[in-house]
Amino acid sequence: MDFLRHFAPRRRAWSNTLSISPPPAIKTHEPATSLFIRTMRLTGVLLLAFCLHVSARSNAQQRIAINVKNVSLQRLFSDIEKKTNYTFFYDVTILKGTRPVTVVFKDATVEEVLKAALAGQALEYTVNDKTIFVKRERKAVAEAGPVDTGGAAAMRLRGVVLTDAGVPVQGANVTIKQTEHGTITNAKGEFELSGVAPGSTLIFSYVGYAPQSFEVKDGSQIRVFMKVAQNELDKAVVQAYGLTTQRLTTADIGKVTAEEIERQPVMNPLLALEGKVAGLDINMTNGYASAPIRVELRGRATISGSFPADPLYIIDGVPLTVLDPGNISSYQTGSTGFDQTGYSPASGQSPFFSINPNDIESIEVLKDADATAIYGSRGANGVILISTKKGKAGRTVFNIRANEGVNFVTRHFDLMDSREYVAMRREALLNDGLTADPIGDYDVNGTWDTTKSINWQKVLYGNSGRMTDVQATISGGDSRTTFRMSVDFDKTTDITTINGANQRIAVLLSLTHRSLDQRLTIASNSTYSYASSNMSHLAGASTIAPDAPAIFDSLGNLNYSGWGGTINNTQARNAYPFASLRQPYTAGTNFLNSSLNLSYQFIKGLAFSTNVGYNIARADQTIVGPIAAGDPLINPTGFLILGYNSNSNWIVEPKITYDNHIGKGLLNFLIGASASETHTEGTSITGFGFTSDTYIHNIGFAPNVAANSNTGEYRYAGIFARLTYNLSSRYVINLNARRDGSSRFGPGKQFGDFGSVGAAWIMSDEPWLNGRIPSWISFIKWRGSYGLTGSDVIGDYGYLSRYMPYSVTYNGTITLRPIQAPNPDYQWQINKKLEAALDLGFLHDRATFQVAWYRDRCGNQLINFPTPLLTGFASTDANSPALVQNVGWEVSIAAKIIEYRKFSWSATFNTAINQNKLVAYPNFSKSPYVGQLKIGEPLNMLYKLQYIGVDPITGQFSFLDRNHDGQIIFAPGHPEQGDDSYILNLTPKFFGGLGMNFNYGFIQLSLFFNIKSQLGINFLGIGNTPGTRNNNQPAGLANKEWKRPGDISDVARYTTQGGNDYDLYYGLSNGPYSDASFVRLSNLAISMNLSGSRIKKMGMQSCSLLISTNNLFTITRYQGVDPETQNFNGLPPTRTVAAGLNFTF
Amino acid sequence: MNLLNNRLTIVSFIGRLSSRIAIVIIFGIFLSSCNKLVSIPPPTNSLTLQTVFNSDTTAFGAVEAIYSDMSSQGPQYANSLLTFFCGLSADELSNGFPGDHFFSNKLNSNDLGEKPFWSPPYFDIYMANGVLQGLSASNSISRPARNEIAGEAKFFRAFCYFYLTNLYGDIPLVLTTDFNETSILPRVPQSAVYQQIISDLIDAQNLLGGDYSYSNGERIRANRWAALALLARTYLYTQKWESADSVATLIINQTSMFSLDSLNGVFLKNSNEAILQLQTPNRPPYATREGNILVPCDGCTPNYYLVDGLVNAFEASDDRRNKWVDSINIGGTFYYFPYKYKVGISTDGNVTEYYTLFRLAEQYLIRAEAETEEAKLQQAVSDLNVVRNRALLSGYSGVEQKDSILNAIAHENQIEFFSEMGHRWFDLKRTGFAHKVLSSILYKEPWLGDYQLYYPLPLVELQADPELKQNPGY
Repeated sequence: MDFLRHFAPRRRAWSNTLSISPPPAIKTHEPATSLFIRTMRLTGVLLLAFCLHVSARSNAQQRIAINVKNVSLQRLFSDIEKKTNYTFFYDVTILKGTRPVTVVFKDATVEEVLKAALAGQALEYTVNDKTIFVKRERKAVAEAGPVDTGGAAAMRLRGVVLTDAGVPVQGANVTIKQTEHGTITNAKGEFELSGVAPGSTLIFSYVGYAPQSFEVKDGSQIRVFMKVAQNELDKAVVQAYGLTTQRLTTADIGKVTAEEIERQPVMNPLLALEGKVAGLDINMTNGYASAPIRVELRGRATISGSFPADPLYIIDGVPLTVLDPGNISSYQTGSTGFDQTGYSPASGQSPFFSINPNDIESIEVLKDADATAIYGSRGANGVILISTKKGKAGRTVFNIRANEGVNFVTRHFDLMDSREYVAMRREALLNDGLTADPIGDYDVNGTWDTTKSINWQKVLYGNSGRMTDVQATISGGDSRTTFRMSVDFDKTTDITTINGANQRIAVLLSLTHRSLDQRLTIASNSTYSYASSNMSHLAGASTIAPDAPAIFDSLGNLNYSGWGGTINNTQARNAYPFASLRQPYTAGTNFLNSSLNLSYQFIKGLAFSTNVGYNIARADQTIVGPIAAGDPLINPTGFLILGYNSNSNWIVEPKITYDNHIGKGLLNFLIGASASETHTEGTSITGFGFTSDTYIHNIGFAPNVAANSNTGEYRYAGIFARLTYNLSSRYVINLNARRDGSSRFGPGKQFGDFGSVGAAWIMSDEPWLNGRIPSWISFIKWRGSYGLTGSDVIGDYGYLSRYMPYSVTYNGTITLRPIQAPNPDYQWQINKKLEAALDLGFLHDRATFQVAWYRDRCGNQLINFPTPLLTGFASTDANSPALVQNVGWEVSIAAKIIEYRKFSWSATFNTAINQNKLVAYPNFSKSPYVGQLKIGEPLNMLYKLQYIGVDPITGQFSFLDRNHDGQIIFAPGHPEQGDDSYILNLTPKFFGGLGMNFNYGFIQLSLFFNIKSQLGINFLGIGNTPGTRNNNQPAGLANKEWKRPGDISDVARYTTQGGNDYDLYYGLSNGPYSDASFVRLSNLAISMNLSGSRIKKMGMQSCSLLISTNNLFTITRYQGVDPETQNFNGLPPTRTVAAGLNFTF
Repeated sequence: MNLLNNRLTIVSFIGRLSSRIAIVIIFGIFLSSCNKLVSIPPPTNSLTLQTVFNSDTTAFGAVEAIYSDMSSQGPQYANSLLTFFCGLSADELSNGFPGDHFFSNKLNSNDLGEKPFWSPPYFDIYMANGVLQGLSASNSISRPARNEIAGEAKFFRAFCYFYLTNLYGDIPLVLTTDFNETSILPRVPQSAVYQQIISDLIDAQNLLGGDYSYSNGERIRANRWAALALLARTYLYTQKWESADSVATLIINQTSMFSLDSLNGVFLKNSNEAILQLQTPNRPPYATREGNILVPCDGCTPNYYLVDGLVNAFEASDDRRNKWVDSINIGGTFYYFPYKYKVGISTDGNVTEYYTLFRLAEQYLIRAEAETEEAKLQQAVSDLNVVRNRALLSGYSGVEQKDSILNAIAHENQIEFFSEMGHRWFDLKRTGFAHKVLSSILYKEPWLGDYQLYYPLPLVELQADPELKQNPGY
């Protein structure tokens, strides 16, 4: 592993003996630069040496006793070497002129000893594995030897800027503090600056690195080592086509780091985002590992319910767009992703199920116009940038991690047992003046054994599942070439009756290379994964009558006959819902995401780069429906369904960037073009009529075959430009422009122009403010942006009149039916986004606080315009005149509350409040949204009757008679006529997350809570009226119901008349809506990082033990299974507890 | 130094030059070909309107889509739902749920959320309108094909409006596919709907041929006689007795083509009595949906069974009681179920029964009723007896008096056409007997009001079309 030894085994002095390739030296025409060259050579060696250990994190923790007086450092080092298994590594010349030291310790770590010995010596050290490197302190160092004195008043300076790992920093900013003039570095990190007065201060800055200052004494060569920023404000943040920092950005970008993602034992990386970024609402749709995730940023923008609100996803520069040619996705359910056939028991397949969370370096969420406008219309719903991990220059690191865990259901909801259930049903029949129907009321008429009681929640999803995750990674490289390779296996088994499994194997390869002259950079990232799912539809619901017979009979066959009872009750047999348990679903998905980035710097500051990316997903599904799954009494036949889905994207994005120091500021200019294409295809073939199960896997033997195919093609092209000017590091202005074309529009409507302007003012850096604000306020920044982004989020081909073959032939010919109502006239949606924000830093930025206010307005909305069915179709693609506004506040706080050497405590908190409102809708009273929406109210509102309690006389629910006409009328579409004008708002009031990290010695504990305050539909709103056939009810209702006139109760009289009648419109009132707020401990993780000598003796660098959990508990008053999925028929989210080991060699 | 300077200059020159070239290339490519970059080929899995009406074959596919939509595997108004729901609404069927809103005639405005009778016929109308529009925009369809396709489209437009207006009363009249126009249509009076139906049918019978050559002899595509059969029924419903009489006569006179079949033969495919049938798809269960749902499995309770009132309405020795009704004994209780379609499940390629939309017996009863109204009582009785005799019943023995004969015809309609596409439900309504007959049935009490005779419009429809008003009472 440690190939350092390869050329410097236990050698202390090496500067004369090493001969390695010539170090990169500044091309200089001055003679007498031998010292400089020597220095550079030294630097080169150092570079190599240090680039090999950037991954080192461990400190010298080994404890020793030492007692030396007045010895040279050289001597001290050799003493320590004898007492420990450390080796020192240094250039003897650096010890020249150091003071002799006296060190007395009885029991101290090597670190402590070194700290004491090197204090004031202008030396520093780093520890890597068993090697301690000692080097000159990496401040900016002026080398001897004037370059160009050019007079006493002003000098000409030269220098080089390198990273800590010794890689030249291209485009670093060098500014003379006093004059604010400056320059940037070239491809090799070199700069040249004239007009520098002695005594001036140079400020070196580069994105993601801590700024350095250097006082100019003479015209010496300057060598600057930039250190990766540890400060939250200066850490690199990925933005559109580049990097920025929270300090300088004019945009609103939220970031989630690899560390946060890795802690969570989930297979889908999107789930790790839940609660992490203010304003980003992530919703699980059900508990299957491959299930689609519903994502919405900053509220609902359009009144259309047909298109998911998903942001644009970009993985390493390649958009992951999935079309929906079959129109099976919706706003409520989110995108069905890679499942275009709609057969998955998980109701779709999230594209991110194909991505290994552990391969992700960071996820950035771009929120405002300034951040997203450069993506033109595709950025209207926000952008999520996913960057995979890259290799780092340094020692070759081999890491292996393994996690094993169990899954089980998060919570149960108590339902009635058979005794209570049957009593309820009998009472309901009695109330309705009925006797149990000998056929229809099979749950209480003797068909079923009412003495038996089954808890269906336990039967359906009461099992435990297992989770396994094993990953091996190797990474490393040198200053010019880095690599990272990883392979990961992840598997989660379901907790359902018939355990299925979702599993994935993922391979990642990332390579970067720079040419010798540093001008050409090539970076390539590829991830490949194969995901497989085998599951069965979660048959039935937890609300089946508790006296319903078991799923299987004594022989293990599907229990149709048990359900039919002795009289073979047809209706009871028809109600048997478990056929799908014997109709297994299997899916396999191959996914490849690959990108190649070439960049060439022509001259200083001017570079051409191009990004070429491609991804493809192939997802195949099979559902086998054997004859054995059907009711034998009705002579069932078998079926086989094959689904083939493919989704591919390619993108080409050539760009030119120009960066320079101009005037008193730094200019970044980007111009580029983008062309991309998405192709989505879904084909399903159904073979049916099989009369034998023996050849059911071969579609060729199906007596009847029906096939369906959906294809979608989407092309997108644009040119874009961005100009950023950063004046005096205090005033930043950012302009974006883009012209876009999309194939989703009809001829003549394809192009649109978009743009944004953003600005930031770092007030705390104003000289005039100095001393006027308390010193504990370290950072004040005001930021604002306004922009216009469009959107083409609508189906493809909506402007064409299309006919499709129908699955059933007639008269021997293929029949063609229209599949949509065409509209050639619709055009771009207009989103206008305004944002203002204040960023604060306290106590040297140990705590940061950000508050943002935004106002997004969406007009000329592209929607599936509802048309009455009498037009032939329920909708057509069109622009709606509705103007929708989302106004919100987002607050993010991060703080290192306690920071001691042994103990630290840090916390993050974010929350978002969004107010959604339909601002305007011209001619609203004639629109199809009357009675559904209301001007001035949020889109996720519902018109309902207002429930006012159970009438003690009739035992029925009663409602507020708003119009005092003596009757209760529910008249959707005509709120003026009915009493249904009570408005419910289902938009979350606020949501957010609270995270805590505790470090104590080698133990780290982290917690993350998701918080959401919302209303939701509860058990009573699912449509199962208490007293109706085969519908169980909450145990809490038993014996609480109204029985006779005069009873005061919250529970109406039981009735067998279900549906919307439910005692006259309960289902249409606000009655079944209740608080669905929750606080979920979405993640608790404890890790122990061991790096002591024992571990080292085992040949490891470090070893950690991780216990991680997901959904450990949920605090909620929700009356149902889960407040997030709000569903009684699907699989609720599961709880995972996993333990893992992580070894680094 | 000079050299280096030169080099720097060259480098920067090349740099500048190549950057310019690059910029030119970028803009060159992206600006000049932007239109290409964002235009996509037509979808490969579907056809555009133009391509459909480019050839006779695909144009035929577009009109045949109406048939396949109506006879499709799923439940559709034409292939079972009219029979089931209208059977429940009338005094024919029960599904074992006393609280069923159709069965008890207690529909409310929230029922029919599934809108089985509203959107499918309107979708079929859209297809018919689309066909008519596609034809008029195309020059490449041959003249005979053009007539056939237009005739069928008009026939089906009339067919759908006939059922829509009988289910809902006043309805919007959609005659184009342009949603800008159709999405804000109000309801028009039933008389206007009938006017449109009649005009479409008259066009259709002119355009269509008089044989079954377009379906290779199978009686599964609308021809002139199908158009006339619906026209006769429409005249009857609109009380144009003379016209009904003469149109029915045209059909009855086609003796070489149509004759009353044996009771067990009526619903077989291409029976002699059939004027128009819908082909049953050769798909599981390889049988009509009506047969599949109505004929119970061994030892199973039927999904729908005949109410006592209907079972008792059969005259003794009526052969239809034997041939068209069957029963099953479940735990000592007999359940009677319709047995017109006898095949519940069959096998691949062995479909024996087709959905019978129009059959000759109806024309006899139409003519009998019209003749009665025209005071041609003898002819009426003779037509009535044709139907009775087939059921092995003796001829009409009542007095030769209008009311009595009309009652006998109504009874004959009840028995001959029980559980056949809502025939009884529509008869009760058009003859004005609905209130009297239904309101006194125990399981329909309390009778909420005659407004129940029209179904409520689906709520979503009222929301989507601001000009649309709900049927009064709901």
